[in-house]
Order: sequence, then structure tokens, then C-alpha cells
Amino acid sequence: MDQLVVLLGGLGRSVLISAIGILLGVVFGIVLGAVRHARVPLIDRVIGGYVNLFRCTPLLVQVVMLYFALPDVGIKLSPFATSWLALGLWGAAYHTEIFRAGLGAVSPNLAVAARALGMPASRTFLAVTLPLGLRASIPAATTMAITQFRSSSFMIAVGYQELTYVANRMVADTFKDFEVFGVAALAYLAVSNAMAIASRWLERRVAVHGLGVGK
Amino acid sequence: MSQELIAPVAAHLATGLAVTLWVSLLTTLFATAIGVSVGAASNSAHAGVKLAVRVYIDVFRGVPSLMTLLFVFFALPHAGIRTGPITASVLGLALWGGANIAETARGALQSISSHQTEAARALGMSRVQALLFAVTPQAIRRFLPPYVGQLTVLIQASALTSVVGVTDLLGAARQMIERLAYVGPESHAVAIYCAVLITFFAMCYPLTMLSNYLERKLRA
Repeated sequence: MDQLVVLLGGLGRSVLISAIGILLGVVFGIVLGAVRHARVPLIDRVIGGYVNLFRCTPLLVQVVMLYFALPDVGIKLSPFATSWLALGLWGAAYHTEIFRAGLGAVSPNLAVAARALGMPASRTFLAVTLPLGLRASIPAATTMAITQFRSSSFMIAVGYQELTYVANRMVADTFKDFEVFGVAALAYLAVSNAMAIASRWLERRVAVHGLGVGK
Repeated sequence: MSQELIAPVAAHLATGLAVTLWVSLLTTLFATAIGVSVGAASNSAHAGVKLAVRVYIDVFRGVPSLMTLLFVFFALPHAGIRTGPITASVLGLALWGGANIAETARGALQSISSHQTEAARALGMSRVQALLFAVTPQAIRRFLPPYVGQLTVLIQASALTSVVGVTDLLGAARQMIERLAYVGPESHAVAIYCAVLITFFAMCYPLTMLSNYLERKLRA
């Protein structure tokens, strides 16, 4: 029973760092994705570099670097701050490409129509392209958010006491590998599935009738 | 970093890189074998097989890769099987990666219209022949681009082995930083971790480009 409470505490901390990391990743992803969608010459290259750097290197190395290398340049982060920051920076790289693709899936005819009606470009983007692009991005962004949640387990490397850290310690102490990892696995599956269900609900909720984005 | 340090540091990192490559290679082989066979089994007419495939894919894709690895690491000795951390890691990562590849293979197979199978069956092919000679050649075009992308994920996942004490590239980097801390007051963490980052980038970026290229090239 006590052990269940300990595992639940770990799950709570996993959810906490994931929630902050996902929020950070999605917000940065929307902003950077929108900038990439607009194809601003030099900035597009810079964001592309950021995306490639974070997507082509292991999250674990990024985590370890934030925690063990940054103090050398005078930035000292707690395990908690490292955890959500790493999840956020890494997630933002993926979310940027997701939202860029979502914005790109909105039929350009809609933007042309809005401009023909006399809307300025900024208003066209905010009132037409962005709302539809965000809707189109929901499934892929959810998949990434769930991946971010699962990857919160990597924070074991900096000693943040999330679910995998807590479960790992418990197994080392009790040798109940099947029971402890089984419960932890169920907890991960339960939260992932809840996120997927919530996302499908949101998708239906905000759907614009007759305006399936894309083709 | 002073000149005389570069050679020994690079040598130690190189031994770590060799382990990373070895783990990545083995994981890729096993995960591909598991993924392709499980993906093919998802096409089975047997309801029990289909359910087993679904459960395997959903469980292992839903659980963090690191936890699969830790579970195998602890469960193998518990079951009386004595292996080193490298074997346990490869097994854990292959079970996890296999589920991801199986899902890709399943999706690719299912994207091919069932009319193709029916036509092949009408021509007298068996179910297996229809799968091998009619469906698979078409499904491979849809499978290959995401599969190559998955290889970068497997290479990146090999860094997780350092958590159970494997001296892979990341593990070697940590060791080196700790050792150098005894040698002098100057820390080398930034330089050494940057080297690790660049090495992983050099391995994964070309594969990502290849995946994108295949995506464009093979789009039917």
C-alpha cells in the first residue's frame, strides 16, 4: 500500500514535468511553426538548424548536458528545472515541424479568398489559416505530447524522482520487478490513453463542419 | 582543453562510440526481425494471433523505452539468466523498437488495398504467396521512409544503455569528465558533451535526410 503511494507520487511528478514541458513545447512549436510557415528568409534557416539539432541528438544527452555542462558556463539548474526545460526544448523542435505541416495543410484558396475580401495578411493568418492549421495539427501534436510524457522517464539521469526513478529504486530494494514495473507500466499506459481520448474529444469538439482541412 | 589531453580523451570516446555502434547495430537487427515478423503476423486470419499482435504493439509502444530496458535488466537475472548489461539493454531496446517497427509495417501492409490480395488469390496464389509477392512489394514503398527514420530513434535510444552502466559514447563521456576532474581544477564537461552531441548528429542527420529523400522518391 505504502509502495503504491510512493509510485503515485512518482507518477504525479512525471505528469507535472510533462505538463510544463508539453506546454512549453506546444507554445514554442506554434510560434516557430508559424514563422517557418511564413518562410522568413534568414530566420527560417536558424529555426531549421534548431529543429535538426534537437531532433538528431538523443534527448538523454541533451538532459545530461543541461544538468552537468551548463554549470561550467555559470547556469545551474535544479533536477526539476532541467526536466521540464529539456522536455520543452526537445519537444518544441518536433512541435515546430508538426505545426508547420498543419498550417501548410490549410488550403491556400481560403487565404486568397480572405485577402480578396480585403483582410490584411496578418488578419488572414490569425483568423483563417491559424485556426484551421491548429485543428489539423491536433492528432500529430497529441502523438508528440504523449511521446514527451513517456520520455519524462529519462529524467532518472539527473535524479528527478519521477515514476521510472521511483520504480527503479523500489525494484532495486525489493526485487519485485514484475509487480513494480507492471504497475508503473499500467500507469504510463493509463495516462497516455487518457491523453489520446481527450485529444479525440477536442478534435471533434472544435471541428468546423464542412471544412475538413486539406485536399 | 589543453593539447596533450585531446588524444587520450578522443581515444576513450572512440571506445565508447564503438560500443554505441555495436549496440545500435544489434538493436536494429533484432528490432527489425521482431518488427517485420510481428507486422506480417498482423495480417493473419487467426483472431488470437491478431489480438496478441495488438497487445504487444500497444503495450511496448505505450511504455517508455527506458522502462522496458530497466525491466529486462532486472527481470533476466531474476529469471536465472545471467547476462551483461549490454545484452540486457539490446534485448530491452529491441522489444521496444520492434513494437514501433511492427506498427509501421502493419500500417504499410494495411494501406495496400485488399483488392490486391483478392486478385492474387483469384489467380491461384496462396495467402502467404499473395502477401509475399503481391502486397509486400507495394507495402515496402510505404514502409521504408518511416523505417529509416526509426533507425535514428534506435541509434539515439542506445544512449539509454549508459543508465544501466554500459560504457557507450555517453557513458564514456561521463567517465572521462569525472576522471579529468581529479587531474585539474578545470572542467571539460562542455567540450566533451559537445563532442558527443556532434557525433550523434553526424550519425542521425544523414539518416533523417535519407528518410526524407525516400519519402519524396517513393511516394506513389
